[in-house]
Amino acid sequence: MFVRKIVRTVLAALLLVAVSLPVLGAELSVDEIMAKLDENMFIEKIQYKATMVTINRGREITKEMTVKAIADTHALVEFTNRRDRGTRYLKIDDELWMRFPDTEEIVKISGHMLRQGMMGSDISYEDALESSKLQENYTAKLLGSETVNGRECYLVELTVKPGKEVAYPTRKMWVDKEHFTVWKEEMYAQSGKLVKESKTLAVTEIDGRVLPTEVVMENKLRRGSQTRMTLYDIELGGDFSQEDFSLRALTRP
Amino acid sequence: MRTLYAKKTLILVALVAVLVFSEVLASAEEVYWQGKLETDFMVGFADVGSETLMNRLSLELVLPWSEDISTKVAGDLQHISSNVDRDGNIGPSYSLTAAELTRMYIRLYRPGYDLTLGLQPLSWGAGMFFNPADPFAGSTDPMTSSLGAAPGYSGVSLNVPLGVLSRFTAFHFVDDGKSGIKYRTNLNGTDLIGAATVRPGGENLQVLLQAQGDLGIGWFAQTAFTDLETSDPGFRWAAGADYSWNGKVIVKGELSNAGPSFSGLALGPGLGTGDEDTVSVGVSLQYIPDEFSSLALTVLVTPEDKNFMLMPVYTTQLTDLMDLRAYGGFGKAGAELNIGLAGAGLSYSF
Repeated sequence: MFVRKIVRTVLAALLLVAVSLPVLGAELSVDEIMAKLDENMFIEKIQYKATMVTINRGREITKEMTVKAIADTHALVEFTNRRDRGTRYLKIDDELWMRFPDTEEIVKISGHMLRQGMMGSDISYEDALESSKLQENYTAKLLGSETVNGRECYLVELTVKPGKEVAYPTRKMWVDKEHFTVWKEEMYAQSGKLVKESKTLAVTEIDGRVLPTEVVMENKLRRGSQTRMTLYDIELGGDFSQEDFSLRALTRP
Repeated sequence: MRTLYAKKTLILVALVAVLVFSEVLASAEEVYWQGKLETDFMVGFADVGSETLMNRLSLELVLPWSEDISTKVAGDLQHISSNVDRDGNIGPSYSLTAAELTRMYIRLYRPGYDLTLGLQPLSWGAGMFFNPADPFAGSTDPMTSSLGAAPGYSGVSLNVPLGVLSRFTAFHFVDDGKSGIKYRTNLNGTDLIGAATVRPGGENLQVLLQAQGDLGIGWFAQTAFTDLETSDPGFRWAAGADYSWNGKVIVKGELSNAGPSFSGLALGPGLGTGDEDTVSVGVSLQYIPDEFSSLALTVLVTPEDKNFMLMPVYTTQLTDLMDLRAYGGFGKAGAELNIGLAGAGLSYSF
């Protein structure tokens, strides 16, 4: 009787382990999640067109732009909507230059502008133009799992590593468990105050990656305002190098 | 007479150049044009009863013939109805219509240089309120200078890129015979500009040095030796800084030894053309309540003669193509308040 009980207990334990193995195997460590997130989201070279719609108290302003960027170091933006046509920005590391279409002059813009809204929107230049490896700048902590937009997501909290300079010292990300794209993100200031919240409305698969193509960003410091950015004609890679991000590129037709 | 002749010659050369390149017209890439319609109504307070209505139509046509050749033609048509003369005195009402060609150039892009021929813009320093070292800042008199596009200069300019953030510029303008060179580079995050202009015979020499950088706070400093017809030879300088909090509040400050003289309406480009050794201070506080609007107050002060000017400006973007603005200018030049106006305007881009 005693032996049968032991055997039954052992069998039950083995069965439990056997049932649990596939589930345990699917769960990743936070470092593995971050590595897969960086693998999907970090882009060395990209060019795309975008529509940016800023909405505040019933007023909607639309801007069109073309963007070319290398990782988090180089970006060239040209606004193509009628009102702002010819306005161009060049970003190299933490420096920003602007080309005014009227005077056709290139003026250096103070670095703190990088963290301000691009052309008055809720999306900063850093938000829109940078692609950096999160693991290089942040320490990650897995907070759990949640469902966003019907997708199972890891909820990850990122805290800036000592000595690293980033726009948001703390971030929370809802990372798709299958595609490792971000469906939702909260960005916090040093004080712990929620500064911005972004939600991914649409994704698309490009070259084996699943990337957000429609994102809505809410600036929590501006009540009732949000900016929706839609990317199209996306090309990963491209026949351009860092040398193509120059003062001359700001003036070419 | 000589200037007129030179201008006509240049226009002729530009047209010939267009014809020479007309074969590539068939392969012209994206041709586009755009325009802006602006209307402003201003009333005076210092001289009660003064009214000015300004309407302006700006048009621009860009023809990129190929990847290497581009042409731009732009102009303003302006109509002013007012009862204020150039000295700010109220008189009989009059109307003035003026057309101005502001751009007409052809630009050739080659691997090692850009060459621009025709009526083209050229700006210089980076001053926010005062730009005393800028030989191209234009007139301070809004009745004679265009309030639309930055002024154009007839001539030829050559730009030679010397690396990613460096370039050398040489130019010659036929209007006043002024020639010059400019070198721009970036050293450890600081933009540096050195430039010189001179007229034939070594007259009206201007030498400019400028630095602009960012130490958490944006800053710039410029100094120039100037030998102009309108003043004794000497050094002019300006320095300033700017900072922004959360993108909602932006503060700018600037100090110059050649600020506005307040002898007239000190609005428009080229504010810093006052007498040397008249140290002036400019401070502006800008508040951005939402994505579409901005409220700014600029104060210009010349402590020596206790003159000042306050310029509040409110701008808001109503739609994708329409902007509304309201502004004022209130100041004291001498013993009493003698500069005072308020205005509002609409801009429509098409």
